[in-house]
Order: sequence, then structure tokens, then C-alpha cells
Amino acid sequence: MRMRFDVIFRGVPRYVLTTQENPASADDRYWRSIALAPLQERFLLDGTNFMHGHVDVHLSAWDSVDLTDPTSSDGRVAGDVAVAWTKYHRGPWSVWGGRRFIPWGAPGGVHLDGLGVEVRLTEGLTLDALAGRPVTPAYGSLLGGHPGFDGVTAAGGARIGWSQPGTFSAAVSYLEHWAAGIPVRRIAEATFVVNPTRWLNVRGEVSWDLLGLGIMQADVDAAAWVGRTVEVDAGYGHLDPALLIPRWSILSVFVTRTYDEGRLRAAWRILPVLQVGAEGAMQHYDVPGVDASQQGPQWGSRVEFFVRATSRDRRFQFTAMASHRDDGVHRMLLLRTAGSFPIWGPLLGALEAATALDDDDFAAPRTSWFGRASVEGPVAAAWRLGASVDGVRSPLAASELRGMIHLTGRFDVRLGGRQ
Amino acid sequence: MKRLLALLVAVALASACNRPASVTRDHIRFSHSPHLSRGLSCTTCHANRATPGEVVLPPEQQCRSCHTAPAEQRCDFCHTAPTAPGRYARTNRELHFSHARHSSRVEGNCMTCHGVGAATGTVTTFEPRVPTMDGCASQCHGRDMRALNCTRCHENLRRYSIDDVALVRHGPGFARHHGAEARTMGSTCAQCHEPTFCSRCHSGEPGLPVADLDPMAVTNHFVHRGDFFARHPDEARFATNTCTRCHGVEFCDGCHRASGVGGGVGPGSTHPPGWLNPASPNSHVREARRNILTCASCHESDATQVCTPCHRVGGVAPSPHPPGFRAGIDARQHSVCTVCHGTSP
Repeated sequence: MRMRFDVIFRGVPRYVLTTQENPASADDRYWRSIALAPLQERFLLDGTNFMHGHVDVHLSAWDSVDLTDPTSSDGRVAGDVAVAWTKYHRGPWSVWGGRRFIPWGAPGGVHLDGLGVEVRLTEGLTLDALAGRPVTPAYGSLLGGHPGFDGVTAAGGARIGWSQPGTFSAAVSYLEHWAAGIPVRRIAEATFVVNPTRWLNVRGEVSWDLLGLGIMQADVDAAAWVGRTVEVDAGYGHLDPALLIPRWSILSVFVTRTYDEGRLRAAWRILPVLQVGAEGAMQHYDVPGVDASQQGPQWGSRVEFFVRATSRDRRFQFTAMASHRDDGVHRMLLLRTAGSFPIWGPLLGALEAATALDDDDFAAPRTSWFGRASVEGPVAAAWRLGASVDGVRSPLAASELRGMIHLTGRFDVRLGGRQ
Repeated sequence: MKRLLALLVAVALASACNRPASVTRDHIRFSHSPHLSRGLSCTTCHANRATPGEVVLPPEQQCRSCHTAPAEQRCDFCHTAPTAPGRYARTNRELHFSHARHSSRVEGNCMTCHGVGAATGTVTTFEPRVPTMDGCASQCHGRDMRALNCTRCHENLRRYSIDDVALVRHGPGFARHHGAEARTMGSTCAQCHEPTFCSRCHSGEPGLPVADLDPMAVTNHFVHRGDFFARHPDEARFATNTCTRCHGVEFCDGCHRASGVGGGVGPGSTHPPGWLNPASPNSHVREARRNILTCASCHESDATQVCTPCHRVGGVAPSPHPPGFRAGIDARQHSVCTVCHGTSP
């Protein structure tokens, strides 16, 4: 059984766009800064093979208490259970119940309260089925937002997957999602991972919207290893944004452009502890049936270079990255570097810096920068204490300072012989 | 006097070093080569009578059945510490392994696995070896190694360092494309990651980003470092498909509504001047066509109030549907359609 417990206390401003009626009976809008000092706690638990090896339990939960929130009408306390499920498995059968994140079924996966069954039909062939109520985790009022749709929803689906270890794995699934009395999503999905040779890995996924009869999202990547140190990865992605919006929102039936991307990435591990790489991507935007002259820029690009170094014991880590993005309208250069290192004995330190520059005007509001200094060390068996100070310039704030103290406990508990 | 003291200390140390330990750890003297050179096969000693095909380490009486000479019957013929005899040193390697299944595949030739890395030129020098992972990979399990299909052999990986595995498999960009592997063969992920590991990101807990939970893991090539919040609107513009791999649009709408973002037109608003004028370069028409998810990130819930007054049938704005639009639901029954079309579209 493994447990992790985090306590984070931070001081951070939050910005709320506020409307106020002026003497001329018009609305004035301004960003109101609210200082928050939330105390956040998080608990993770993974227990496996209880009760003669047949029962697993998984739990992830958090809560937050805002010690300074001046608008207590929004609530000072927030919390949620992110994951809480148990599984009974015996032979090829397993049954689970509770709140769980399912990685298949829809782009981004499905998070739901429900029940499911998993059966291993033969070696490598598995069948999954589930049903329940999709959930969007609740965030704490001023610490975040609530989901946009709180009505009664239900979802159910099934997947069948075949896995020939090391060679070929594939799965197809169907998921249906109902809300507001109508089917808001009917998704068929196919995924595969294939290793035709020892040096080639091809993986892909495609999601069809069976209501709108279109491909919601698709991705295919092929990664080839040259020797054991060079990886070349070519990929293609497609997205139809409107099909991702569930049918209960009328935005799901509005015209919008599709998005196609081709990308090529290469990474070279020069030394076991040092890796460099680059990535280039081109994007094409298109509104089917609409004249190109009315669509605006149709091409975008992304270019990226990076270096990563990590010592064997992971006490020294360094990364640097430069990336340029262009969507035909805006262009942005992103620079980031960070490193962590031993300060003294078990005490570790980390420094991070990042800036995002608007190509057309370096002083434009969208230009931002970020800096962080952190220190962390053990305070007792299994417990670590750390602190960070951030300096930030964002599109909303010319400059701001944040602080954070965090305490983390990790426990690996063996109960009986099979834990 | 000092010399005498030094001599005493030296004698004491020497005697201490020469004194036999009170408990000597036993081990069993054994060499395969003399046995093989006498023409014995592996199964002469290692056959498992209870489970045909499986192998055992031979019990003592089996050794004694051949070693009948009086000198060979003495305990110290095999045991280095006959007063405290032990058993064979056993190591629990935490493997799913069956000799029976393997021996049929190698046609009973134990050398296929146990000869890897051993001197096999002559039986007089041959000592079989316990296969290493490299040996398994070079013989049959190369694809399993490449695909990190570790649980085909290993019960778990807890006694191994995760670093080597992570460095090989989790290359740059892995965070962006791990979905296909997780969906197709999640059991591979589960070899190292507990199920709650996914929830660290996929349950959407903006108050506890990964960068804050593990601030020392600065080389995690993960998009949500501390600087991400400031530039997330641009990231969403430049690489929409990256966001939607993990986030549904409701993820955006919830936070934006709580922050008051998305309302109003003109100065102080998130919408630029000219937003409602179709002829303006800042027109909402262009932005909506560029990416409707940008609209949905604030108006997914209230689009009925925001968009419908103009875009409904008979309104001042044209139909927002794309050419060849197919609703996929019965338009006469559902409010999503009737809000613009009435009850008889």
C-alpha cells in the first residue's frame, strides 16, 4: 500500500474581471486583484491485493481552506474526491465501482462515478464495459471554477482490446453520453500501438463523432530508433473543434475551421545523462465549404529546440528550451530554462526562468515572464519540506510575487505478504 | 613501554583476526563441469518428479545416491560449515516464469538460456549461468523489452530503479502522445504507475499543479510549469489539439466564469472593439470561425443567451451552421434546436 500526503500553503493573487456601473449608467470593467492564502491538502492512496489478493483500492482526494478570502460568500473551503474506486479481481474477471478516470472512450478520457467490468477473454484479449455519471471535478470557487454543465448526465460504453505483447496492441470502443435528455456524444474510438521491428514504434488514435458523422480528433505517430541514442518521431494530427463540444451547447452546431498538423521531432541522447532535440510542425486551418478568402490565415508553424540533462541519481537536473509558435495572426517566442541541484547534504535547490515574447511587440501585454527559486529537504523519515518564491509578469499583472511552502509525506506500507 | 604496548595491540588484533567466527555462513561446494563431463544431463539432477517439465534443485538424498564413497558421505564434502548446514541460497527474483513452457520452446536445450555468457567450449569448464535480462532480450524477448512489456516476466518492478526505464522510454514529447499507449495498453503503464498517478493531471486540479507538487522535477517536459498560466490563452491558440487531448471544453468554461472573463464588449473587456461588427477585423465572426473552442471556453453554458438572439431563425445574423450540417439528433424535440428554430424547424 502506498500513500502520499501533501500540504501546500501559498500566498497568491487571483484576478477577477469585475463590472461596475459608472455615473453615466454604463459598465466599467476592471481586473480586481484578490490576495489568497489557501492551505491545500492532498491525499493519495494505492492499495493492492487485499483480502487474499483479490481487492485493490485507490483514492485521490484534496481540500483547500482559504485563510484570507474576503468574499466568504463564495466559500472558504473547497474539496473534492478526484479518484475513489475499488476493484475485485479473480481470475480473468474483475469488477470495479466508484469514481475513476478512464483513459479511453472520448478524447481526453472519461471521468465518472460508476461501475465497470473487465474480462480477459483469452490471453491478450480483454473486454471492458462501464456505465455511470460523468463528473467534472469541482474546483473551489475563487480558487477555480465549477463545471459549465451541472445537469443530470449518464454515460456508458464498452471496449475490446487485443494486445500481443511487444508486437501489436489495438482497441476499439464505443461511448454514449446523455445530458439534458438528449444524446450529446456518441463516440467510436480506435487506438493502436504496433512495433513492427525492434526500432520502430507506430501508435495512433482516432475518435469519430457518430452524431455529426465526422472525425473529432485523430493522431498518428511513428517513432524510429537509430541505434539506442537517436529517436526520430513523425506525426500527424487532426482536430474538428465543433465536434468536441457536447450537443447540449448550441456552439456545437456552429461553423468553425478544422485543424491539421504534421510534425517531425528528433532527439539524440548524446550521453546517458544528456539529450538534445528539435521539433518542427506545420498546421493547416480550413473551414470546409467556406471560400478561402473569408477564412483568414490558413497556415501556422511551430519550431522547438531543447536540451535535457539529468545525473544518474537525479540530484542534478537541467533543461533549456526555445520554441517559436505562429498561427498566422500572432507569433510568440518561448524561452525556458530550469535546473535543480544539491545545496548542502540532502538539501536540494531549484531555479526556473521562462519568458514568452510577442514577436511583433516585445512590450505587448501578452509578453510574460516567470521566475522561481525553490528549496527542499527531508525533515523526518518519509517527510520533505520545501518552499518556493515566484516572480511573475503576466498579461494581467505588470509584476507579482507568490510564495509557497509545501510538506510532502510518502509512505510505502506492506501489510501481509502480498502487498 | 610504548613499543610493548604497540606489540600487545598488534598481537591482540592478529589473534582477533585469526579467531574463527562464532557462526560461519555455510555454502554448498558445487561445480557443474565435473558432473557434465561424466555424461550427465541437466535433468539427471534437476528433473522435477512432481511437475514434469519443471526443474528443481536436487535434494541431498539425490546427491547421496551417486556420492556413495565414505569420504563423499561426510557433510564437509559439500558443506563449508557442516556444523551449521544451510540450504541452497535462494533468491526471489519476483518473476512469472515456467521452465516447462520454456523447455519446450528450446527443445529441451537448457544451454539456449543458461549458456548465454558462459564458457561453452568444453564441458570441463562449463558453468551454466542464471540468464540476465540482456540474455532474455537477445534470445527471444527483445520486443518485450522494446515495448516495456515488463510484467510478462516480472511480478513487479519495485526493486528496480525507475530512472533507467524512464530515461529510455519517456523521451521528450512523451507527455503529449502518451495517450495512445495508455488507452491501448494501460497495463504497460501500470507496471510502474499506480492508477492515482493519472489523476494527478487528469482529474483537473488547478490548485495543485504538478509543478508545485514536485518543484524539484524541473526536467519534466510537461506543459504546465509555473509559467503556463500566464500564457495559456496563446498556447490554446497555437496548438489547440494539444489542449484537447486532455481537456474538455468544460474545463475552461468553469474557471473563466468564476473569473468573470468573457463578458462585455469594448475597453476592459476580453473582447476587442469592433467585436460585434462583422466588417471589423476584430469581428467575433472571424474568431468563431478560427476556433469555436475559444468561444466555448467562456460561453459553452450561456451561448443560448449570447448567440441565439442574433443567430436564430429570423434573426439579424446568418445561419451559423457549416455547409452540409447534420444535427445528428431529432431537431423537433430538443431544446438545442428549438431555441433557434422553434418547434417546427
